[in-house]
Order: sequence, then structure tokens, then C-alpha cells
Amino acid sequence: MRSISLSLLGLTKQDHAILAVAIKLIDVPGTSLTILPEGVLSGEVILINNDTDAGADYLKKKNPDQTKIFLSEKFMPTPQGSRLLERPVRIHDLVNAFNISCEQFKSSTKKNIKVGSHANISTSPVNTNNTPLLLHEFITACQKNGLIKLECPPYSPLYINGISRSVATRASLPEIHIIAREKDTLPQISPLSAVEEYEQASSNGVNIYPINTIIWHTAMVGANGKILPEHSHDTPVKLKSMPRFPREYMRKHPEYLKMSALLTRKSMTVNQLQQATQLDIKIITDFYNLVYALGLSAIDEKANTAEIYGNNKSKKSGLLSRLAKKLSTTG
Amino acid sequence: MHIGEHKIVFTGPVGAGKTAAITCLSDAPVIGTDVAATDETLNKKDLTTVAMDYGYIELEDGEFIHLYGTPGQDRFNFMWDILCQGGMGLILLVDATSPDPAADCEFYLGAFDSFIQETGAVIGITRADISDNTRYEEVQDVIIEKGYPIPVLEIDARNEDDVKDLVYALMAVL
Ligand SMILES: Nc1nc2c(ncn2[C@@H]2O[C@H](COP(=O)(O)OP(=O)(O)O)[C@@H](O)[C@H]2O)c(=O)[nH]1
Ligand SMILES: [Mg+2]
Repeated sequence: MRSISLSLLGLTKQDHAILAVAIKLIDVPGTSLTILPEGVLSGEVILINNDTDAGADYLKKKNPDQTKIFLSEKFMPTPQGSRLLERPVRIHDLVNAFNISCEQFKSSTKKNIKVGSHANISTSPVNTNNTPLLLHEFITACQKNGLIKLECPPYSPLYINGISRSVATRASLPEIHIIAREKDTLPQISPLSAVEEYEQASSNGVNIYPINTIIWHTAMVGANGKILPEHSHDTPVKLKSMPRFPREYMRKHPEYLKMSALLTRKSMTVNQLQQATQLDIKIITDFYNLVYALGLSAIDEKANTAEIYGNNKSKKSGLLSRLAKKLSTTG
Repeated sequence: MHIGEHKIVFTGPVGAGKTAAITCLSDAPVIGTDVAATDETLNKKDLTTVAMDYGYIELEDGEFIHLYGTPGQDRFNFMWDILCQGGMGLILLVDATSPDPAADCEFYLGAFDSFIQETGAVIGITRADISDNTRYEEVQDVIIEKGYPIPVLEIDARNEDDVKDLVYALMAVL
């Protein structure tokens, strides 16, 4: 039985009543929906009351792995992969939406959503893809000036050179994405004995990438909320200065700039960044993994990890979002 | 110029691309406004005029973001404080082909220090398209471990998308 996790956001009493019936009528053999505790928004499927502020805000969240079902008073365009049910919500329509989602997740690997006693949004799936592990190997190679061979058949091995900060491989960047995305096969990691061995492996027309390029590509696959090995969502880090993000990423991830700005001023943990930005914990974790792997952030043991951050939207934030809107519509 | 209006201040050495950058963003042709100013370095009673670039962005609700470029001549530096009052943030442009863009950064960051601490700043290294070497690292060295974030971007001040990226980066640190 594949149990698919369902988060709820801002549902009314009436919505809950419809949900209670609909969930029993799902008709996809071998699947069931499990409702996550209130406040846990990391379910594979999320049912959102769009007529609340939090619900409407959620529309802007980009987490392609999650299927969103919006309940809304008015018709509105929704992002790809999400569904809109106009009010009054019919049980039949909700069942249909659930059936489609269940079909979709039926064949995919189960993600264990671990829910601690103090259920909160920092809860992260246990099983994830290879991204954190790969990043960890890149970091280790660089820190130890080491040489590592990383095999993930059927793809060409990656030869990581921490001395020259480069990666030699016949694998293409899209193939490296696949290796990172892979959930069920762990790459085999072995140390290379000598520089000669690396050089031999990296001769004959293989691609040699700067390690930072590979780190970017690996981190951008996303780690589904999973942080690097030996790190936690309560590890405080600080940036020395604003990173030099490639421009295309700056446009794609304006939130990376925002988080970099916060971490340049102050050491913060992933959980504190979440409080301060209200972004999805997965986005923050991916950012954390990226900047740490790139060597841009450093752990700050002295930081106060207990400090609580409010989402202090300043008076000017309205002005700034209007300016951003204007800039994106002209030219 | 009114104190308290929404404005972004552009500064940097002559030729760094302030006029070009403001032109990219402004909804109306950029004008060099003559601002009456008392030049305290000369004589308090002496009125002089200072040519500043001025443009604006009109938001959908009719609100304006005013764009001011600081006058180039050093003897009008006393204007900077007044110009910055109530400003949203600073865009510092330095020319990659100039002898020492890092020193220019140091000078302007120092001159606008309190304004930057209150608001925020971004640095655009211009003319990167015609510079032999990237000046990014030198500029980055000036701002490292300052304790506040200043994004640095290499841009062409005549390119609208580039200048917009500067503004986005500025907004992220405000
Ligand atoms: N090639 C190149 N020319 C630029 C760039 N930015 C500005 N310019 C040119 O440099 C000259 C000086 O720019 P201007 O905007 O007047 O500088 P200002 O003195 O700071 O206002 C103008 O001819 C601009 O067209 C750039 O990034 N690349
Ligand atoms: Mg000019």
C-alpha cells in the first residue's frame, strides 16, 4: 500500500467536512492518503483554501514535487501541475482530483514524512535523492585536497579532484542531474590512489568541469528538504559577503539574494531563515546546501540558535513588490 | 527634489554610466535638472546650480520612484547628504576600465557609509564589456567582511536588463 501524504492549509469547517467524505471515496487501488498534522506543509499533495491570505501566498511557492489543489471562490489561473476547484466544492470533483494525484504518485517511491512530536514545517523527508551525498563528497574532496572516484552505473564515473577543484567525467550535465535526482541507488565512492590515476582517468577527451559548476548543477536538482550530512536545520552559518550568483540564477531565484543578504548580516540556521523569510523549508535547505558546498558560508558556533525571528515585513516591502512588478512588466 | 519621496540614488565617478543607467530605467527622458544649492565650501550666501540626472519610474498606483544621479564635480559633494535623505538605497557604479575601480568603491562607500547602513547599496561594475580583465575580485575585496551585504554585478549600464538586475539586487538587501 502506497500511502501518499496530504497537507492541509487554511481549510474551513465546511472544507473539512467535504474532505472527510472525499478521502474515503478515493478509488486508486494500492494507494491511500494520509493527512499530515496541521502546519506540516511538506506533503506530496496539499489542499489549500485560496481564499485565505496564507493560501493565496502559497500560490507563489515553487515546489514542483508537490501537487497543489486550490479551493477558491473565484476562478484564477494556477501554476502548472496544480488544480483549481471553484466553490462550492463538489465532493465528486475533490475525489477526482485526489484520484488523479494518487495515480500520479502511485508508481513513485514513497517518501517517509517523519513527523516529530512538535510538528512543524521543518519536518523533512527521510528518504531523499543523492544530492546531499554528492555535495558532501565534493566538499570533502575540496577540504582534504583529495581525489575521489564516484560511480553510479550506468553513467560514466565522476573523478573529483579537490586539488584543482575540478571534475572529470564523460557524463553530461543532464546525466549528472539524473545521478543527483536518483533515489534508490547510492553512488559508490572510492578514493583515487594518486594524481596519475586521476590524470589517466581524465585524459582522452572527457569533460573537465570546474567543481563549482558541478556543485551548482547538483544543488539545483534540489534535496527535497534534506540537509548535508553532518549538518542540521539548526546549524548556524554566516556568509562573508554576497555570493556572486550567475545572473540567470539570480533571476530564477531572487530569494537566494534575499537569504544571502540576511546571512551576510547575521549568522542564522535554516529554521531561523524559515521564520524570517516564510519561504518553503526545501528552498531554504537547497540554498543552505549550495552556499556551504561552494565554500561561501561558514559555521558560526557562537551564534544564538534560539533567537526567534518574526516575519517582519517592513513598510517598504509593499513599495518594493510594486517596483519589482513594474520592472518585470516593462521592456 | 523633495525629502521623504521614494528615490534611488545613483553615484560613482564621472563616466561610470550613471546617466546611461538612469536612462534605461526612467519612464521619461532623463533630464539634467539644475538644482539651486548653497555651496557651503565657498560662501553660504552664494547660490549655485548643480546639474543632476533625474528620471523616474511610475508605479501602477501612480506612485513615483525618483532616480537621481549625483553630480560629478567634487565640489558638489556636500549635496550628497541632502540628496540621500529619505532615499531607498544606493546604486554605486564604477568603471572597469578605470585605473583603480576598487579605490573608487572605497571612496564612495566611505562617503555614503551612513546612508548605506540605514538602507542598502549595490555595486555595478560597468564597461565590463570593453575591459580586458574582470575587476570583480578587487571590488569584492573592498566589501568583504563589512558585515552588511553589498551585491556586486558586472553590467553594461546601457543595457536595460542589466540595470534592472542591479535594482533587483538592491531590493534584496533593503
Ligand atoms: N561600452 C560601454 N559603454 C558604456 C557603459 N556604460 C556607459 N557607457 C558609455 O559611457 C559614456 C559615459 O556614460 P554616462 O552614463 O554618461 O556616465 P556618467 O558620467 O556616470 O553619467 C557614455 O557614452 C555611455 O554610453 C558600459 O557598460 N559599456
Ligand atoms: Mg552623467
